Amino acid sequence: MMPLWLYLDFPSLQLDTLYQEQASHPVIILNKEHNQVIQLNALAYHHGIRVGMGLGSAAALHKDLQVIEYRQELEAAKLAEIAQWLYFVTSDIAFWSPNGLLLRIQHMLSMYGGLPSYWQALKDRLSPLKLSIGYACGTSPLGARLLARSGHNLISQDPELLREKVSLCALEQTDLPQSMCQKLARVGIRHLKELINVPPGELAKRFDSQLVTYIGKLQGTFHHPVDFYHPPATFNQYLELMYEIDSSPILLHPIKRLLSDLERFLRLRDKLATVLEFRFSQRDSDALSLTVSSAQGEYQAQQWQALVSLKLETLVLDQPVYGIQLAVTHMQAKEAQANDLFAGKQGQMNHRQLLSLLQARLGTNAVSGLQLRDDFRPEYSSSYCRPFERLEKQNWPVPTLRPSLLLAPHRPLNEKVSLLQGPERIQTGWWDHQAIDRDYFIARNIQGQWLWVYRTRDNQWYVQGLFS
Amino acid sequence: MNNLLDHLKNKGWIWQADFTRPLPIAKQAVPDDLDEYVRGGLKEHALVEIHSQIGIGEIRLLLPRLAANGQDHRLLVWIAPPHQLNGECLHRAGVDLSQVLILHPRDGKDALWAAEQCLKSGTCHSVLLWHGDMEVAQVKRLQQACQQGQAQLFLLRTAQTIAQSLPVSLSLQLEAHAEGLQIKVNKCRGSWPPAPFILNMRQRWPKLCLPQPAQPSANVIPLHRAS
Repeated sequence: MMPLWLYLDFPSLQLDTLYQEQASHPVIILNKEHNQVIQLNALAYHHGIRVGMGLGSAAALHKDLQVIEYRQELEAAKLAEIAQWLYFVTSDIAFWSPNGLLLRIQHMLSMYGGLPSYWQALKDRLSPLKLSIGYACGTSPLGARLLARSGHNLISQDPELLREKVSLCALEQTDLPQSMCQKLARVGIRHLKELINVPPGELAKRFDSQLVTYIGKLQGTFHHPVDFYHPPATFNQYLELMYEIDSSPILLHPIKRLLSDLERFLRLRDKLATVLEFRFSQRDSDALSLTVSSAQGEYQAQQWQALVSLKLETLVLDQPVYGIQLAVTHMQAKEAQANDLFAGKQGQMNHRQLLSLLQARLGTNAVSGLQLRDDFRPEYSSSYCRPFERLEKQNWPVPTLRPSLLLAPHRPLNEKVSLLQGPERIQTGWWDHQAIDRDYFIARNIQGQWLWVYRTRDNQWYVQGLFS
Repeated sequence: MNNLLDHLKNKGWIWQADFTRPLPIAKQAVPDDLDEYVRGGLKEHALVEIHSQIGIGEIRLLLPRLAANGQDHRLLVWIAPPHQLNGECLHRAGVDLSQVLILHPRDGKDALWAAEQCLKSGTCHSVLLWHGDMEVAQVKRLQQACQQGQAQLFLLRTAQTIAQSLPVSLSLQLEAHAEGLQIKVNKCRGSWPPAPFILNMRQRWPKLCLPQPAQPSANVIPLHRAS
């Protein structure tokens, strides 16, 4: 099978990643080292700004120009995100730094039934990302890249046509270094076809090995090693904001976008996230982290949004936020929830969703459950625990009457009471140095309160509970 | 005008003193201790306000109702109880501890919020809320949440906080009594409040009643020694 490659070039990747609802200002991405405009939006183009201009001339063309520094790591992250997104329609994806993706497509064609339908599927997949794209097929990785970057936007599997298009490309459009292109231009070589037509042996005699390797790889005669992409197991996404946000409720809007990406990620894997970790990058201050958890695990953006908005209500921003990172490290498989069809009136929630909601606003420690422990000491026999920790029913019988409320710490008895029941001696706990030796009584005071009082060995009286 | 009155009457928003509104069909057939004194007992009132001193039996009054409500496997939520709850007591009363949630909100605002969320979620059968001052609007909101989630709210307040009449369906005022509790019904929606009565708790809580004064029993027949 003839190898066929498709190269996707994203010329304005960083610009496209910016969170912007409407471009109301001309925006440029500036490479600081070379002082060159490398990406710009339509409005900037309209005002006469072009790629390759210096900052000075660009700024002269519009007074409200927004300048953003070029950051390669942002593009790399976005590229990984695109690869992850495309992985569901095509298998062999390789990164071509800083802003290209190389796809090996000959194996996919038989699955999609031809190049046109494959390309259609790929295009449909790409369109929601709203990126500007250059693309081309090629018989070799370098060939596809060359055609894509020179703006051919060519989808074809005819090798003759592809080779012809490649041969017509000018040397400046290739990845060959500038100095070599100038050298070749001096001997009258301006297009690739003049090099391709030379037999490889002759080429090797006249030019250095770098050029020979390039031409060999371009024609597909030399092997071109490619590392293919494997999708990550966790979700980690960074969103750079177009404007700094200094009020926490407004943060919810960009977070919605991250959450819908997360929903897509989780739905495709059939997983639920239990903990979301946000990091808000702040101007002049350390990043702020925010953890939102859901007891039962959620994947839907809407459910997460409700929890996040509760958390945001209590979040105080010291500094404006310029970027949001969302990482999800804890995921679990989705389990079927069986609801009784005939029980009727099931609200919109289940127990764990309610718990997540309460914990989000009140704090994790403010919600507890109740459990029994197999101990005779009243301090230990009943204790607060994490909610829904114990699912099995605790079925041992409680031997005798116990108060409904316990005082912690115990209060010294300093009023007149009448003892009505007792004594009940509890003398236990010698094994863990928390031994008690008490006689318990049920007492009633003048106000009619029913107290659970005890007397220690040295005749001290305390109130431990109320029979409320 | 008559139409309007009929409309209001049908909705149950006004009521004529010579007419007692038919009760909705009972959800659970478990009888209440209060049934014979208060129309509908505890179970027919979505929002029950209880004014009581702490420790005289106010929770014991509710425990049978809570255990009965819990038969549908929904949650029982305690919001801001004044002391630590004892699981042994609840377990003994038949409450399933795996369905119990206890909330410790930072302030009254959070407590009300939590109560509303729990009530309207439809996952809780009952909510017990200890809260001081309440406003009419807040109570109305909670009442709506009760209806939405088919839940019951017990609002426990100290005896000192009787300031105004809140739009609750049943308002009780408890006093300690040798036999159990002396209950004054401040308000009972849909009927006249009954006269203050004494709820005898001797049967349920024999150890938590004052001993009966010894009285000569009629069954004892004095035997005369045969001479």
